[in-house]
Amino acid sequence: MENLNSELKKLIVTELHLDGTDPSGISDSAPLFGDGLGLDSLDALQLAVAIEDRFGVRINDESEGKKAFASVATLAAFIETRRPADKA
Amino acid sequence: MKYAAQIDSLLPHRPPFRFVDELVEVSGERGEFCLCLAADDPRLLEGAMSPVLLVEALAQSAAAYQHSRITGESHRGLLASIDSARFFGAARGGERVQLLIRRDRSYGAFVRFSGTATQGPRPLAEAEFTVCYLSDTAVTDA
Repeated sequence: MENLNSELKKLIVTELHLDGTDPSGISDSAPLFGDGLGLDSLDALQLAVAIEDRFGVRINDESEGKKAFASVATLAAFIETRRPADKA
Repeated sequence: MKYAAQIDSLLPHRPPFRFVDELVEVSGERGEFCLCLAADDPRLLEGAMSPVLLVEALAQSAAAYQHSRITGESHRGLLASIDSARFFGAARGGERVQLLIRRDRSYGAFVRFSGTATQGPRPLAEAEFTVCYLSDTAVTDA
């Protein structure tokens, strides 16, 4: 799970163009939206697309996304429970 | 004339700032539209339309597609981002440009589209972009 957390942090920084943000400085439990990393709804769409491309896991709607995107840790747990075997 | 009236009902844009002239077909997640450029179209520069404006044409096509599927009185979409764009050639006066868009993903108020602009077999531009739909919109799968 730790490797997935690290991978997700790098993905967030790269896909959302968070120039100057060190992925290792993102806390596993810090909120991604609002306070914390300060992402917005447009970032959520971009991140959802990137996650589907990388892990084969689809975030179906905003309701599902709000739970998955609560933090890096919740996102990693969400992906782990849903990703196809060939993308493990 | 009937095509202009149809597009008028789907888009608030009016000439010369409307870059879609005809709805050809809407089916599932895809829409096909066209832009008809007169030889003396005032938007042409030295006989050609900037490929960048084709991205606007694709965005307007996406808006027309979405509005053809929306019920309710109040809906308004704003182009939120252009996520990628590639340009291959300019459209010229007298040409009919085919605009193909596909609704890719949605998340909350945001919808991601991809689109291509072609003139016959000649690719002109392709783009991926995101539209934000303001509140008071009910989207149905028509």
